[in-house]
Amino acid sequence: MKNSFVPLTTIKIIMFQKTLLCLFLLLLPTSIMAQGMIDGFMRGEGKSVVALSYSSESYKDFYKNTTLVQEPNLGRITTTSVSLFTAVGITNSIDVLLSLPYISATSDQGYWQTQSSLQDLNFAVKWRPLQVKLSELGTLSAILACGVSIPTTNYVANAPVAIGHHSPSADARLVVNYMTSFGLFAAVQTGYIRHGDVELDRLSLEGNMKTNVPDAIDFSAKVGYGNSEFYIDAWMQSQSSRGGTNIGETDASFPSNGISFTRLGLTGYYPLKFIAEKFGLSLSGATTLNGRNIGKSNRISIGAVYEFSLWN
Amino acid sequence: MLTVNKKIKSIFIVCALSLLVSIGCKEQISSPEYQTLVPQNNDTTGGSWKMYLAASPDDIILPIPNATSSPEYTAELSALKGYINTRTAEQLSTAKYWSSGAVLRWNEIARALVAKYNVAPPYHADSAAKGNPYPVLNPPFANPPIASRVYAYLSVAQYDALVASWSMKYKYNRPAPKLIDNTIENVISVPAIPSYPSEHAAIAAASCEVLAFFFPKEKEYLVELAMGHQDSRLRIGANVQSDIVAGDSVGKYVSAKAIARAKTDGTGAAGRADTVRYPIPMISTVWKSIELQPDGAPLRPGMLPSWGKVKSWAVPNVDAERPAPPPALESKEFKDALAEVKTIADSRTREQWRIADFWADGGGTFTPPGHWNYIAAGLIRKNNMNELRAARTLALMNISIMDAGICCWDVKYVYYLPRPSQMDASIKTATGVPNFPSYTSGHATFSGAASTVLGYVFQSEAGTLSAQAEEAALSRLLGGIHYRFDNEVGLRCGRNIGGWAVKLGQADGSPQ
Repeated sequence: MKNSFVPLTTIKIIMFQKTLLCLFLLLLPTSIMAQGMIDGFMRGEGKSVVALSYSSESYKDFYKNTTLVQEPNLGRITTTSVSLFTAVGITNSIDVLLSLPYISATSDQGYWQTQSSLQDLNFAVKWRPLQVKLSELGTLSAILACGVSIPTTNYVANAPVAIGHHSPSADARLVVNYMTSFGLFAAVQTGYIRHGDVELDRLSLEGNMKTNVPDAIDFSAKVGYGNSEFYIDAWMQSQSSRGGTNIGETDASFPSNGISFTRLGLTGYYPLKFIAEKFGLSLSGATTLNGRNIGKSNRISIGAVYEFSLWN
Repeated sequence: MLTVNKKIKSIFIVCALSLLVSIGCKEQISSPEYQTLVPQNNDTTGGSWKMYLAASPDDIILPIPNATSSPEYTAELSALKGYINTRTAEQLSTAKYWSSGAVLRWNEIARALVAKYNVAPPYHADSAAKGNPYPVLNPPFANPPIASRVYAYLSVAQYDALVASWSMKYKYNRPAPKLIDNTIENVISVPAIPSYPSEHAAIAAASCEVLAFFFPKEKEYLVELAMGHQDSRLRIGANVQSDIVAGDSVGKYVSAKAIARAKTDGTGAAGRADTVRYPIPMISTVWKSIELQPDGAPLRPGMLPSWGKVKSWAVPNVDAERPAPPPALESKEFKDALAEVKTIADSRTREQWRIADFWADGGGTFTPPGHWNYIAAGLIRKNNMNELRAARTLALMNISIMDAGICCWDVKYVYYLPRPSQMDASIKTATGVPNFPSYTSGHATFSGAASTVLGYVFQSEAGTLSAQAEEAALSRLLGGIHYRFDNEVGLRCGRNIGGWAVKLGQADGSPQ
């Protein structure tokens, strides 16, 4: 770090990369959709992070197909979750990531039972095959990611108040990230999420005890700024389901619903060096702009993030 | 780290590729395929079995079929060869579909329609101003009692159409086309029974007409199905045109009888809140709707308050089936029962939830009567019952299920017992709280009746069926929407009601 040949801005970038871990937190409550772990930065060989976050998300209005409605017998549905996240840099260009949330969903009207359980274990591998220094001004990188999501318990999936769809899934993503030497960055991401069938507790019309869950295409864009003191970003995510049933449709189970949405969010991270050198807090918020078969929810998350070196 | 690096990269590439390859070839869950029905026997005396709607098959006047040696029949045979020779792949697959059991296929279609129409009508402000806040704008609202009526009339019409067809088949004994002309081959197996009139044409006409009466907006769809069904018998050389025409007449005759009964069975008045059978409740605290409504909307009236007045089938006197009152709300017995619901709701296991959900058959599904039709269909297929025997089984079961609904709804609107969550709002449920009084359980009563009738028909399955009914009844307690006594008394009543249908079965002239 004291090498005089390294320009100051590069030092900032290196430090900045290490603060980016908080990005991993921002979408964790949406891990109902098995996503949100992937961003445009790598941890670096031997570097690791553990984060514990708490999220609260709620809605009263929801999209029945694409029409905004309320259900007096559900009232407001609130989902709270505690997530454990960890990532390890295997090499400078390969990370493995793991997350597991405990989720609780409840409604404030009507009589549906509150659901609480560990939800899906998410595992992903990120690989950065390409990193090009375009000029003194910045670096362009491309990242491929591949993940799986596996339900860890037999939680209830087919109910108006539920913590997830209990669908094993796999996804593939491409992230293109441009990072300037003065701390501003921008990233775009696209991915395909493949959902497996869900075992139901009840018969379908044909007597099947399972249902298809439609796949989804995901797109997101993010801009942000970070330096060694703090980090902030803003993002937009758009996910669209390939087909699927609608809420309230004949014989349609909830997991078979086609779920689409557009969301906006903000994330901030602030290091708390008086606690530990590599410790900080993240805070994020998100809102739903439009959707299909999903709550028009707002979410707030807070997370504690700790970085450490496993080797190197 | 280099080897790890390489390994991970290759795992990564395999993962990504397999995911990409799998895109677009996602396998959709489809309906099960069924084998062509090869009946265990042909019930050659079936034409003498007792009908529900007509006094005798002789009430139906059909033209005497032309002899197979006549020029008219020869012309029909040559037309038949034309149908076979121009058959498309789609027509063959349609023929396969119906050949797996036409009675059961129409039963499946009825279940799908019930599911489609099983949606509680929402609040409607314009109509509320005229005194009807929850109008059924897209009739029918196929809730469980209304669904039981659809299944009962469908099955009865199918059965009567088949008794009449069987009677005429063995009266005229017209051989199947392939027995007259050996150049006609049946690519799909056809039961070895006389071909005039076509039993498939009779099932198609009877089923289509009855279902179109109950689901008026589906008429076009149903007529298309029935035409395809009747045509399919020509395409595989099972029947000549005059067999089809005669079968169609039989089906239309009995469906007209069925519809005439349905029009006067009291359903029209059953949904009206002002025709409650016993307006003065016999207990101190009455049931009221605990469904929340949008601002300004009144409470939803209880579902079908006068359903207990609807005309029954096998039960001679609905009042005589009525059980004793439930325990008084102030009694220890009642308080203990409520406490049990609360205890279960507070400690509900995943397995208890599964049982509650498995038997719930709530909005948007084929209802509990549909669930029993699904169970019956499986047993009918397993036993390779011929069309007539299948229809007899479903008719006995479905009239009993409809009777069960009538008797149970009578009980509900005599005693007006509040739901557990109305007595204790902290009781959370694993299924929706139905909008009608608690005592007795409809699920238990339906299941008691259905399992009793099916246990009589399929004697080796009686134990399993009885256990299924008990689980269905218990599921309502596990779901948190019924007291144990609702289920136990309902199940007992249902079994008694089933007994009346069994008596009909024992006296219908069938060999069973």
